[in-house]
Amino acid sequence: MKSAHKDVLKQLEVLLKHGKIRKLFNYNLIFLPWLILFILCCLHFLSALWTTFVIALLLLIIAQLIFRRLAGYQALTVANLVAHLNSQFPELENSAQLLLPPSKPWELLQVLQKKKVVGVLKPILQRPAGQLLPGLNLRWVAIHSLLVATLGLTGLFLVQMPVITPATQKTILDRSGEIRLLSSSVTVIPPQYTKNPETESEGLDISLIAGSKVEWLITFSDQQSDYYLQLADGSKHEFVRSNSGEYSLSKTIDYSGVYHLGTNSGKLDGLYTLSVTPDRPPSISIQQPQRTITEIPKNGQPVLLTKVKIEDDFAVNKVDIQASVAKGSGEAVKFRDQVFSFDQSQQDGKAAIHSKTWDLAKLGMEPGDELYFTVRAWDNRQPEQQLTRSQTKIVRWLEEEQEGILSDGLLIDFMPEYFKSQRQIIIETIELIEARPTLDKVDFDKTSRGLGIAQSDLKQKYGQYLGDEFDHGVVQQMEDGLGLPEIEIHDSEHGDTGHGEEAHSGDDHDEHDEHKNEEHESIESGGHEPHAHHHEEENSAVEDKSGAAQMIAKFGHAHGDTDIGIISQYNPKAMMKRSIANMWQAELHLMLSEPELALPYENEALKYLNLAKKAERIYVKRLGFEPPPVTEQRRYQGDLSEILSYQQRQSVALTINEQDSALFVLNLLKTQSDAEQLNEKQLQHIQQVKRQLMAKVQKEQNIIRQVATLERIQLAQSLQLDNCERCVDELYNVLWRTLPDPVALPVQRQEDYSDVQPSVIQFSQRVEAIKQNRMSKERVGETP
Amino acid sequence: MITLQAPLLSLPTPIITLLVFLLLSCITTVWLSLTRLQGKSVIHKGLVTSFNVLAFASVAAWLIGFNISQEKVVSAVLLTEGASESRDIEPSQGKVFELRTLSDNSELFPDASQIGSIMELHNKLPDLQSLHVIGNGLSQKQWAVFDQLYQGAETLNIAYTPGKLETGMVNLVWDQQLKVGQFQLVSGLLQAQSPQSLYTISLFDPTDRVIETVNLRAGESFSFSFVPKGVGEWRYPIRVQERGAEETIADESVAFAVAYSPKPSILVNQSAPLFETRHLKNWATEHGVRMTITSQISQSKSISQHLNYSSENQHFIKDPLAQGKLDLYDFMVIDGRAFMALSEDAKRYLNTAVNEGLGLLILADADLMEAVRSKKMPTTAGFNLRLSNQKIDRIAVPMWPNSIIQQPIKVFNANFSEQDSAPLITDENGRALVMSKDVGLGKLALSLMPNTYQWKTAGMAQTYSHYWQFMLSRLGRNNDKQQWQHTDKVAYPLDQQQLCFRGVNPVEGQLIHTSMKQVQNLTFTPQWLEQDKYCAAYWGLTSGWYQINPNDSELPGFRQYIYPASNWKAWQQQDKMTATKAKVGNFDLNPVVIERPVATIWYWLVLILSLTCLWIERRFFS
Repeated sequence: MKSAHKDVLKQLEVLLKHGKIRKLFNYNLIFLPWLILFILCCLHFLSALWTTFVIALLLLIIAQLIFRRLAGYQALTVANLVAHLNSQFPELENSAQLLLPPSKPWELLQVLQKKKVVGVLKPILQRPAGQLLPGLNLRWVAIHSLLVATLGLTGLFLVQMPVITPATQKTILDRSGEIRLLSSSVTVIPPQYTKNPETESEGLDISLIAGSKVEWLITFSDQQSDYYLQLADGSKHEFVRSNSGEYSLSKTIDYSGVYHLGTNSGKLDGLYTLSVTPDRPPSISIQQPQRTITEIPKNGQPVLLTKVKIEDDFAVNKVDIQASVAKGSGEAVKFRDQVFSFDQSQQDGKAAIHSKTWDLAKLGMEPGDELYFTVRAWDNRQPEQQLTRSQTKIVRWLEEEQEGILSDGLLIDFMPEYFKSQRQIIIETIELIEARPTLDKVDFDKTSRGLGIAQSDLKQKYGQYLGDEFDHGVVQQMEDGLGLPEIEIHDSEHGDTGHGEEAHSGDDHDEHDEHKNEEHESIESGGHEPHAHHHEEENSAVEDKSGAAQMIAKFGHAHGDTDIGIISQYNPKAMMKRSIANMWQAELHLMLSEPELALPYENEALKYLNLAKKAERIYVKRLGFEPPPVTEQRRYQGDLSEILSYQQRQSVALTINEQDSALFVLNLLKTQSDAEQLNEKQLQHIQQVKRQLMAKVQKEQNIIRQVATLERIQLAQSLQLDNCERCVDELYNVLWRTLPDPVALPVQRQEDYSDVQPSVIQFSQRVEAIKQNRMSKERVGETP
Repeated sequence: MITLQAPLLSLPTPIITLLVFLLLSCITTVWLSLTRLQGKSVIHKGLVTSFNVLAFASVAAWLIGFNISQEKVVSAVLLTEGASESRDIEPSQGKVFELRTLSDNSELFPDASQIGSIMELHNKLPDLQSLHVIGNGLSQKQWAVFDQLYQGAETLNIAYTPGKLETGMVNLVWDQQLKVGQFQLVSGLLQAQSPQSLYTISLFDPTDRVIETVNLRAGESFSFSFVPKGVGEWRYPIRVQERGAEETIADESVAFAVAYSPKPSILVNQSAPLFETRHLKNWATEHGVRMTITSQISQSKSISQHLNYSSENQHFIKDPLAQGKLDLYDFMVIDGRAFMALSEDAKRYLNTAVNEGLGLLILADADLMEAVRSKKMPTTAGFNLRLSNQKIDRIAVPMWPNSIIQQPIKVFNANFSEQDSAPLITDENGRALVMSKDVGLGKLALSLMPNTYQWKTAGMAQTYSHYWQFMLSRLGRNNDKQQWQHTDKVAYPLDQQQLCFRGVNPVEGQLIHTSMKQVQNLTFTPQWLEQDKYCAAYWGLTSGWYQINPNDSELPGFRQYIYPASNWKAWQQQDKMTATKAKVGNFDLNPVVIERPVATIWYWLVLILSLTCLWIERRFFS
């Protein structure tokens, strides 16, 4: 019996557990909709999946703990279970509680009843727990679910945008009533010849190639109005509305500018830029021959290779060579024009290398004739091609044989008959420096030495004007007096050049003491002390057999010669000497194949040459005839009857000062507060400045941004602009850059006067003296 | 020394009555207690008696009101901006005060009392005798307030410990008001802590591009010269960096306004049309200058051109050299031959006109040189000219302030004697090419450069215009009427400014902050000591550009920039240090007697303690 009782108790325990589980499940069912709502809210607002999951899990755990503390759960005890069973099963005769441990010993009747109950309860407890336990409280589940659903739908309704009604009314305005761009698409179709693909973008700021066709496709919030696009030149272009409500416009754009959109009721917000890149003409670079004039000796091979590099930003359509052959000389010269094409072309990336070999003989030329040719290139721009011409090159087939001249062991084939100007030497030096990567070392050295020789020629030529004699390759200055005897140099071959006193390397060199010059020079130039001079070649040259001294004498120069004293004295001779000194240095570096080092000296030589010429001009004027001044007696002799003495009134228009507007706007940008409205005068100045910038925008496309900023300022009528982080600062910088330095204006003297100024004292004394004088005169007049 | 003082003699009668009553009560109480304590020990009786007496005495002392007087030297330590955090201040130096500036939010010395002004220091220590100033010190204005508050402050000991030197620019000088085309010259000194370091000072334009850079050490001076772009209000940044470093140590700006100047009216009298005067005419009249040019075209015939005399202004003069007519011109140019051909009357009128302010420039020509050579004139218009024995002309490079010309021009080969005034323009060797002298209120000048137009034709329009602007500004009639007078000192917010106007009385005007559009009304008052001068005082409340416009719109406006108080730190520091160092002095001080009343709490404590002891005695020992 006792074991049966125990079994029943155990079964009751098990049933109670089931009951508790069921209770928890019930609670969770009620909680579940809330959890789902919470998860959905988190996902919507936070968009963080894992965070939501973790929080939900934590909530669930916390909920379980809370549920176990709830009264309903706590009420699940054996006693309550037994009471429940009593109520459910009448056969238990409300006696099931007898199974529970009593607080005091049962009486006999209770014991008997308990036995009976055990027997009855045992089979009852065999039934499924679902039949024994109270059912799930689905009513609360339903209520909570409904509540959650209501809350959820309400929230959904509040968060979501209003539904767009079908279009019987197509106007969509936001709360402010402004028209907005709902969508935009810009297609840029470059000119066909560029072979560039079409581009499409949503932004309305467009960068394009000149001549491109632009197609706008825009959807506005107000699809009832008519819209237009207004360019910077004021022209308006109407949009075409399609059935789908989109507005389209197509236009070919050639120039940079700004534009905005508008409707009948006014302009829309927003200013957009058109940044047009023009199609540049082809560029031609003649790689060979480098020099402008190429000379071919009489007996040399009359063949010349020409290599030209031509490139264009798109394509080169046509290339040819326009040549002229000049035959004869003097007045009998005849020209024959002809157009040639290149023999060969080779693509090198975006550029093309064209080459042609000139056979002068086949052109019908003879020694003494000249060929001039220019390369022409057309690009493929439509409708009008752009032509570029190269510089003209000259090929001269020399008539007379040139004797070879040996200089420093190198045989130079010919000597030019003319002097290259200093400027030409500079140009060719620059060309040589640029061509260094393409030339091999031998050619480079040869060309450099050729320039050195030209520099030497020029130096000698100008030196002659100063009285320097170039006998056998050494400067013999007049101040030197008689030169030292000539000396034979054994290990270099020198010959006469046929240029008289010009000798690039002399077989006999005069070594002279250059110190003698210094004293003469310093007297002439104002007393400047000579430099210490270390060249003591007077005696050493006599014994020099290696040729080093002669080389030094030839290519070195005496610093002392060129002392000219204070540079500010514009003595033309001094300027020439300084120029020649620089020519010496230039020649030295050129002969050493260092054109980069020679170039600064060449520029200095040119500078002093020009100064000397200017001084020389004045010098010449001084020497020129100056007529004696006309005396008043002799002046204006003749019939004076028609000469009238009259007054003339003129008004001189003030200089058109574009700067005034720019200055005004510059000051405005710095001093005006952003929110303040601009007045008419300020807007006028802004308009003026915008006009000035528009005139420059074709050359500098970047300025278009500043034009757009000015336009926006005009539209907003204040300096406060949307989406403008630094646009005002950039506008300021550009305007500043466009301003030239001002011309000084006529002013009045403005000084403070004080009683202690000498002029004031003197004047007051003078006034006092005049007063005294007048008073004494009056007294004298009064006295009878 | 501390002493207690009782102001017995000054006690009112009721208090004295109460004191007498207290005394009697004390005696009575002591007698009664002694009677009660018969048989007790002497110590017991003595203690009870003492406590009774103490209680009555505390009440009596409270009624009397004792003072503690102390003889000491009143000293304080004043920490100013720039005081170092690590400085240890001895307590004996006195109370520590920290003078806080508006921009200083950090408390370097938590124990110091914060004061905002010298007034507060005076309120706290009116008897200050010794002050130790640490840091940058006080400005001149602050010292003036200090002197006023501590009258007799000359006997006040001032000690000064300077703070760390700020690196920056000091003693800057520049023109805050310029005319269009004038050069701006900015000069100053570099102040730096480290004398060995090399610094770079760079001047930038308003778009932050470098104009010029100099490298220098502490204590060395610098100067920049440039031409501002045009009319307006400009601020050119100027920055200091350590050589080779990226970081900017000091970033300031020189602010100035460029305005148009009143235009002069010019008269040219020439013996024949000259290129020189023609180009002068072109330049001047293109900018609105009124000009009259009289050119002799025949022995007795001349053409007069009157330029820019508008139809409203019919006052051009047919015979400018007539008596009194020259007053209408500010500047006159005449060539040598025309000058020599002037009649005596014309010379007399011209002399009068120059004495009364006209500026006269004589262009030397061959005729004048010939006259000098042949000694036909003892002096050449008052100048002692000596011609060279060599050629009549020579080449020279003219130089004048801020001239940048390098090309020489042909000038007459003559020398001015040393008795004449200082030369206006010299050549590269210092020989005068244009000499000027004061004649009365006007200026007379003789120029050996008759062909300055070459600069214009050579494309150097700026040089040409600068030359003539210089000549007009030095020789023209002085227009001391209608000009503003203001010091070029750097101004800060709340500094009192004074602006004066010469000429008509503006009466009233407005001070306008250009950006914020704040308007203050100004009233100009006449100055007793100077006629035709009217001044107004004003204060700029915030930093920025200010415009002062007279209510009379005919009068020109004035613009000024007021710097934020945080600018020019090094310069302000230098000014303060200089002002403070000038105040340093030690004097023999008489200690001050400081009296303060004893706090009432002590009397009550003694009373309560006594009564407590008496109660304990009564409760436990009786």
